[in-house]
This record gives sequence, structure tokens and C-alpha cells, in this order.
Amino acid sequence: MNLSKANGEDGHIEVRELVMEDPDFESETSHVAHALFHNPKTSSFDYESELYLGKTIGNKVVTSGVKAFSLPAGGSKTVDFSVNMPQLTIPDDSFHVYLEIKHLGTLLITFIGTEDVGVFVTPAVEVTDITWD
Amino acid sequence: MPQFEPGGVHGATITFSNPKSVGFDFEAILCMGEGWEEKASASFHLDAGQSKPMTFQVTMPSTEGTYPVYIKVNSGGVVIATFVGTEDIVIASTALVGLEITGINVSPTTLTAARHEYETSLGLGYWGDTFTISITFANPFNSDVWVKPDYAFGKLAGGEFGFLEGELQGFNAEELLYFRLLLQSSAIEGDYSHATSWQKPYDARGQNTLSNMAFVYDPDGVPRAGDERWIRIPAGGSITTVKDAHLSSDLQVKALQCTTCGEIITGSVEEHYESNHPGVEITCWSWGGLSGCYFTDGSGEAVTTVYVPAEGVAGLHDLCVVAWNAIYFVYDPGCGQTRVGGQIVTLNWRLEELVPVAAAVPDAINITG
Repeated sequence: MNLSKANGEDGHIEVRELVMEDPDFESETSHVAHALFHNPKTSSFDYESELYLGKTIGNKVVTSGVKAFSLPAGGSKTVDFSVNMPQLTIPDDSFHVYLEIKHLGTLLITFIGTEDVGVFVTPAVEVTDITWD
Repeated sequence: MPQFEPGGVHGATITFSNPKSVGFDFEAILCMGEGWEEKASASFHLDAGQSKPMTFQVTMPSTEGTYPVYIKVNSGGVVIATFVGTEDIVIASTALVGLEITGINVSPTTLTAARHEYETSLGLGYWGDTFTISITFANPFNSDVWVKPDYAFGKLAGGEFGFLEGELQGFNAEELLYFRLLLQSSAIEGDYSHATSWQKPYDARGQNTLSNMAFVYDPDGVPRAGDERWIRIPAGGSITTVKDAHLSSDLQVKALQCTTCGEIITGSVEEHYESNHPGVEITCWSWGGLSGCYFTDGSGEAVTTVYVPAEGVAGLHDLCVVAWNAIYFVYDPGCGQTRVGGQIVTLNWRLEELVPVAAAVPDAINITG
């Protein structure tokens, strides 16, 4: 999935790749996205990053939670973000994918996926045993 | 395992739940058997998290056997789930055993071997003593049963009584009953009566007057089981059939009775007089198939001809009643065809046969001389 900047400043960190499954998912199922981060700076830094789905920036319908990691100067690293797809009250819906990166609590940049995630609910039924008269 | 009658209709109640956060429309189909034969279906809507009991009216298979139960659930035209019942259904007729003969009565219980005359348009006929027999059947099942019973006098053999592999055990029928076939047609006439062992309680009180035997019709009103009359025992009930019957007219044999002492002479008359009445001179003669003995002094006949019960007739006799033929109907739509009034009619009820039942009354009658 390709990303574009939603807010913040370029140049602090790069996301060279965001790999995830088919962007259409069953509601309330868990899926993992793999992000490859790169530190373009000449010093190492600590980062906190969070991947979430939402309708607008900051609207965290579901989130992976904050993942902390460090990158040496010029280093790269893949971080996994596990997200539980949202519970819906309609048969299907779609959400933007946001990837937010902070340093010491200060927002560096927020990326948005160029493609939305589709979430759907498939019908299911449960039964009791049969009672005969 | 639930067990039902073939063709019976029963309700199957299942509670369906929608575990999802969105409401959906569903169609559930109840199937039975390895071939997933669809027996009933229901369409319903379940809101998010809602549960709803649904009852399916299921017509049971017409063939006996064990049937798994499956539930197939569709939503939006797509099968979303299948379930198998934790219990199979057994289809079996419960009317296989249990039909009972609950009462047998004979009146009077003391009879003679006498022969009685009756007049017919064809001349004199003969029959034995009259008696009335009543037989009561009980039907514990939930469908009517028809029987065509027989009865006979005879002797219980002392061993196991009843049916073994379709054969009646433990009773030996004797030929003590009267059978009459009165033929009166342009082609042949005659009153053919003879002794018989087993007899059907047909035509109770003559020409079916007051008889509770009738032709058999299935629940659709189609005549079945031919043109013979049967006794219908209502489901869960009982019925008594009555017949005025006769002993055989051939229960006696001719015998010679000594006119001097009254004893029945079974051997030679001369030897009887030599042994029992020495000095009494008799003369016996035989000519042209006739014979006799008279006192030589001309004072009369030394013996006279009398009728006595044949060997084995006098004394106590047991009575046995059997229902060799017992039938009931099982719902089986389209199981066959028959012709009624020139029209082909589709049959929806299959005739099934019950195992035969028997009952006996020891010392039911005493036949005297």
C-alpha cells in the first residue's frame, strides 16, 4: 500500500513500505500490517508509531496501539502493527489507514494510505439443539 | 433417540441466534437422511444479537430407518452454515407388537355331541350344538388396526404357546366345528357341511346383521384389502365381535348297545353275551351289508344301535383364538395405484401387516355324550 503525507513534516523519518493483506476485511478480525521505517538522519532516534483506521485524521476507530522502536542513523527496520477490524452496525463500511509517528511525544508526521480498507460483516447464525414434539 | 411413526407429522423447534452486530435475513431448511431430503423450511430476520425459536412442521419419512437431521441456513441466497442434529431420528412403526386379545367367552360351556336337524330348501341338513363365542381385541396403538381372526377348539400342547417365526406353537386344533357351504344356483345345488378345525367369526348373527365386521377403507376412503370383511379395532380402543356358531354335526359314531345290560359293545356281540350274560342264547346275522343280533327264543333284539361321541370328542377342550391377519395403514404418499369404480386412484396409505397374535382358554368347553 502506498502512503502520502496527511500532516507533519517530511525528512524526519521515511516509511519505505507498508505491506498488508487484501484491504477488504471481515469485521472484528485481526490483521497485521508490516511497515518498513528508515531513519534518514545522521543520528539515531527513538520513535513511537501507531497505525489506526478512521474516517478522519485523529479519528481512531481501531488502533494498533503505540509501538516504540529505535533506528540508528541511516538504519531501517520493519515494525508489525496488529489491528482488529472494527465492529460494524451496517453490513459494510470503509476506513482510511493512518500511520502516525512521534518522537518523545511530539508528532513528526502522519501518513495516510492511498487506498482505503473495506470492512464487511458476513451473516452468521448459531443454533440450539432440536426439540421434537 | 426420538422415534416416530412413518409419515407422522412432528414439530422441530430450533432457536437461531445472530451473533453478529448487523441484522440479516435468513432462510433455514431442515433436511433428513443421508441424501439431505428437504422436509421443511422457514424464513426469518434476526437483528444483531437476536435469538428466535422457529418451529418446523416435519412429515416423517415413510420408510423405516434411522435418519440424521441437518439444518441448512442461507442468507442472501448463499449457504452460510450447516448443522447436524446431535440425535438421529428413528422411524419405526410402533404398531408391530402389542395388539392383544383381551377377552374370549363361550356360552354355554357345556355342550353335547348331539346332531340336530335343520331344514333347507335343498332338504334336511345337520349341525351340532349351538354356542356363542365373543372375542375382544385391544389396540394400544395410535392408528386403527384391522384383524381377521380365527378360532378353534383343541388341546394346548403344554409347551410354549404363541407364534414362533410365524408358526403357531403349543396348540393342536381339533375338528370340532361346523362348516356349512350352501350352494343354490342353476349350476350346482347342495348343502355341503362338514367338520372343520379353524373357523372365522364371520357373519355374526347371520348375514352380517349386527356384525361389526366390515370392508377396509384407508383414511382417504379408498377401499382396500379386497372384498373380505375385517374387524376394525379403533386406535387406543377395543372391540368385541360375536358369533353364533355350531359344533360339528359329525361328532357322533354309531355303536351297539346291549339291550340286557345297557353297556356299549365295542367288540363282538357274541363274546359280550358269553362273558356277561351266560345262558342267554343269541343269534347274530349279516346279509347284504346289514347285520343284527336277536334272542334265539324270539323275545327281541339283543343289541340296539345308538350314537355315541366319537373317540376324543367327549370331555374338556381348550379354545384358541388367533389373528393371523392384522393390518394397519402407514402414510406413504403415492405408494401405489388402484382402480375404484373404473377410475385409477393414487394410494397415499401403505398397508402394513402386524405380527400375528394368539390367546387360549384352557378347558373352555366340556362336551358330554
